Parts: sequence; structure tokens; C-alpha cells
Amino acid sequence: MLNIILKRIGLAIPTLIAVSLLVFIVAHLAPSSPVDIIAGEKATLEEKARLAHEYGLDRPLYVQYGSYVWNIVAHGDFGRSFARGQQPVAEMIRNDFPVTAQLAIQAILFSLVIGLPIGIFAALYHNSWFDRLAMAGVVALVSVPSIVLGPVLVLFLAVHLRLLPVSGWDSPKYTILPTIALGARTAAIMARFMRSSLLDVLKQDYMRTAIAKGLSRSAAVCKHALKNASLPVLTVLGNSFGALLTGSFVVETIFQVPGIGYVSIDSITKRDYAVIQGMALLVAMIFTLVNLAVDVLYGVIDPRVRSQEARS
Amino acid sequence: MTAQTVTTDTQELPATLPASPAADAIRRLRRNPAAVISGGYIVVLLLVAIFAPLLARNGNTEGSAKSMNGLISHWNYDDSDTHYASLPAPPDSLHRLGTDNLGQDIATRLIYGARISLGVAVLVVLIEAVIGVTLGLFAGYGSGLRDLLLMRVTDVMFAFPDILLAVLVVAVLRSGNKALSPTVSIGGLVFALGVVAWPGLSRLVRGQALALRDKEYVDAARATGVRDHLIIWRHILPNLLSTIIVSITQDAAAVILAEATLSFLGLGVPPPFPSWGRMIMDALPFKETQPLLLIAPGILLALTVMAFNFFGDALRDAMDPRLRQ
Repeated sequence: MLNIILKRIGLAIPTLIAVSLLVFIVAHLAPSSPVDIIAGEKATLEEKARLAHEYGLDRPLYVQYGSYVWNIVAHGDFGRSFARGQQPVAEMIRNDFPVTAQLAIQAILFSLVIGLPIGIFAALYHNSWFDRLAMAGVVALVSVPSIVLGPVLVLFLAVHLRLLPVSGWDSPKYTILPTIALGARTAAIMARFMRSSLLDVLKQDYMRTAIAKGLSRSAAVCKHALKNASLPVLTVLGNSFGALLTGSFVVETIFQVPGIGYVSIDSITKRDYAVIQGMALLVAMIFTLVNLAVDVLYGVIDPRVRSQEARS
Repeated sequence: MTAQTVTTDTQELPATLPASPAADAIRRLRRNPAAVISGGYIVVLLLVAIFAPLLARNGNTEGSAKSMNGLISHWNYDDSDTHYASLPAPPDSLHRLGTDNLGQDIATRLIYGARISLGVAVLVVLIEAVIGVTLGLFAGYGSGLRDLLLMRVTDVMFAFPDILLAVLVVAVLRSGNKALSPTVSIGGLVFALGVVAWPGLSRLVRGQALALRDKEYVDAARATGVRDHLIIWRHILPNLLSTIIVSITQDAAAVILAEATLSFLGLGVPPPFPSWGRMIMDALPFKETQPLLLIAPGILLALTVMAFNFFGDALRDAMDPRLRQ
């Protein structure tokens, strides 16, 4: 088992390096140098050269990349914000990332708590009115983007019914609408995958065997079907987490939640691209690590994956 | 004698042979109510986008189709009848859906928004198809080093969730000191979305090309001395067409969503061009007094994404009945 985990980590490292390289290259393809932004339009050439030297921007690109990565790995230093008075990007991440993480985790939990039971009951009562209603709801929700769902939720629950606050991030009450806006689509996807996965499992021979040996249907479902049906759902969970991270860009903007999405969008308008670079790298790294964790979990849950890996 | 028998046989065949695959697919599509409704919606929306200047009553009377090959017209609005103090204004006889905070007619902006939405989607999907199909074919048919390279590059691209890479590309394009002209901005948006859209399609094409490469008829072609690029063009690509068409139809929904999302975040279509995503953003401050400003583009966007999702699924079922569940 440990071997598999180490192998997976080994495979993820080149991806992480390539991701950091891609972010670095894209950020440095920018038509203007950060010096122009720091110094302003009136700066003389000497001033610009001095600033470039101060920030180490006059070094060759590969040296800059090397020191950028080294600073992140060795010191956790993501550089400094140009627009926010030299504030370290790492500090901004420390302040803002917990908010985004809380929002993403709440949204994941919301989607599991809502999506999985709906998917399970839709599969168990296949072709019933509940199944049809649930699947119609799923199709609708998958197509309603968060930029529509978020404002509509605000309109009805916050403005008209005055049940919840419109925006901000104070008490748990404030987190409800952003969580729903972010998690609704994932909940719909979970429900759909859980349903089709469970329907597949219910058709298997071992389910018939379990019932034939005298297990009640509910015991057979709980003991045998759910564990097997949860595997494909796990993969969706990994992918959905990435969508939730970028979805938080939108949801944090709508609800003015002070997370990394809100800060990133703000930094883009301020052309503060040390921050943009750091945040993009952070999100891509988290996404890669979450998928790594999902891969490893897959091996833990499914012995077939383990033996397949051991053989290859 | 033999030749004559064969001719007679072929003459009798059409009655018993099934229709061509394309005709067959269309027949199946027409039987599927979801496909008819979603396809009909898409056709109507396309017509609205194409004939926008005829449909829009207010503004854009002198709309010149000079940017992006006529896909997007410049936005000129006649505001002689506008009372700025009462903006955004509720619907009246002249403005069926009211006007926004700048006095622009909502209905007209929605109609022109269809142009942006569909225009960007078509262009992005074309870029995606060209890059994705070319790389996928060469990796899948060529295999070896090229294949390895493509797979690793797509691995890295897949490490960026959802629209993050597009956000990064747009951010970098805008980081110049000078403000970009709207047309360049839209070009940049199309570029950003196109550049990040292809990996999925290229993997799909690669997988199929890999399977087709070992088919007997490809071996036969190779044995008779047909060159590789001709085999790819004549024997592999035609067999992939249905896969490609289905894939890019489904991706069109994602592109429309991505454009709206980026525009909503202020990173997509710049004013004065109307984009549904931007309209939703602009409507947020007025959600209490004028909810229609928010709901109208929201409904249109959701319906359009839904239509492309439904039509893509229906197309998949119609073109490949084996996939039908």
C-alpha cells in the first residue's frame, strides 16, 4: 500500500513542477513588466532599471523561475504584492485561503448531504415519480450557472423573504447562501453519478447472491451496494473540488466573501500579478493534491485497484 | 453474365438497405422530443443572433458589422427618449423589458448578447477542434514520443481546474499599461478559451485514432502503399467525425458558460458590447428595484446552456446508438 502511495506522489511531482513552470511562463508573457506598474508611467529609465534590479527582474528567466520555486519550497515565500504595499503573497494566502477552504468544504458537505441521498433513493426507486422528479431537477440544476443561481438566491431568500444576509462573511448565517450557490451544481452531479453507479451495482450477480442467502434488501444495499457504488462518486468528488475552487471566484465576488477568489479577481483588475501568479499556482497545486488523495483513497477502498497497481 | 447479376442486385438493394448513417442519425434525432425542442431553441437563437439588427427595435440603427467579421456589431444607442433620473426604467410600450441603468433597452441587449454568446462559442469551438483534432490524430496515429508528449502536456493542462487557466491567460493579456480596445479584448477572450479548451478533445481523438490505427482496413490501405497523411485524412478522420461533432456540441455549452462567467467577473466581453454574463453583473445593484434586469439574462443563459447540454446528449445517442442506455 505504501508503495502505491509513494508511486502516486512520485507521479504528481513532475506535474507540479510543470504546473509551476506553466504559470510562471504565462505570467511572464505579459506585454508589460511589473516594473511599469510599480514605477508608474512617469518613471525614468534609470528608475525602472533600479527597480528591476531591486526585484531581481533583470536576471535571466530561468534564474528567476529557479529562485521563485526555491523561495516557495524552502521559505513558503510567494513573492510580494505590488499593489498592496509590499504585502507578502504568502500572508494574503494565510489570511484568505481559510475562508475559501471553509466555503469549499461546506459546499462539498452540502453536495454530499443533499446529492447522495437523492441519488440513492432515485436508484432504489428506479422509474418512480421521485426518480423522475429528482432527475429533472438534476438536469435543471446542472445547467443553471452559479452566476445565475447566486443572485437569484439572494433575490428570493435575502431580499424578498429577508431570511438570510445579502452578502458578507461574519457569522455562520452568512455562509449559508454562498454554500448553496457554490454546492448546488455539485450536489446535482453527485446525485446523478450516485444514481447511475448504484443502478449498475444493483444489477450485479453478487447482489442477487446476497439477497438469495437471506439478507434483506436494505441490508444488502447497505452492506454490499453502497460501498461499491461509491467508487465512481469518489472520482467525481475530486474533479468537483477543482470546479468548486474556481467556482469560489464567482461566488466570493457575488457575496463579497474575503477569500482567495475575491482577492484574485481584485488583483487582476489592479494588474497585481505576483498575487495572480501565487493564487493560480496555489489553486492548481491544491487541485493536483486533491486528485492525488482521491487516487490513493481509491486504492484504499478498492482492493482490485491495489492488486492491479502491484502487478503493473 | 456475372456482371449483369451484380447490377441487378445493386438496383434492388436500396429498398432493403438502411439509410446513410447521417440520415439515420437525423431520423433518430427527429424522434427524440428533447432533441427537437433543444435543437429548435438553438436554431431560433442562431437566427436571432444573425438577424439581430432587424429584430432589435431600439438602438443600433446604424450598427456597423465591422468587427470580428460581422459577428459582433458595434453598439450604438439612441437615447433621445431616455429620462436618466428614473433609470433603470421598468418595461413600457417602447422598451418591452425596460432599460438598464445606462438607459439601454434590455430586450435589444439580450438579442445582441446572443450574438456575443454564440459568436464566441462558435469561434472557440473551431479553435478547439483544429488544435484538438490535429494533435490528437498525430499523437494517436503516430504514437511513440509524440503521444507521450501530448499526454504529458494535457496532464499539466488538466491540473488547472475549470476556467482557472483561462482566467490566468486573460489576466496576463490585460496586464499591459494601455487599455485594450474592445475588439482586441474579445479576441483575447476567444484565444484564452480556445487555448484551454482543446486537451479534452485531443485525448478523445487520440484514443479513437489509436484504436482505429490497428483496424484491418487501415492495414490494408498501408499495405497498398497509401501515405500516412492520406490514411489519416481519408480513413481515420471520417470515422471520428461523429465523435468530434458530439464532443464540440457538448463543449459549446461549457464555452457559453465560461464566457458568461468571465464577463460576469469583468474579465470577458468589455462594455459597450452586451454579454449576458456582464448584464447579470451590472444588474446586481438594482436587484431589489428591477429584478427583471437580473432574471431576464439569467433565464436566457440557463436555457441556452441547457439546450446545448440536451442537444449534445441527444446527438450522441442519435449518432452512436451503442452508447444509448
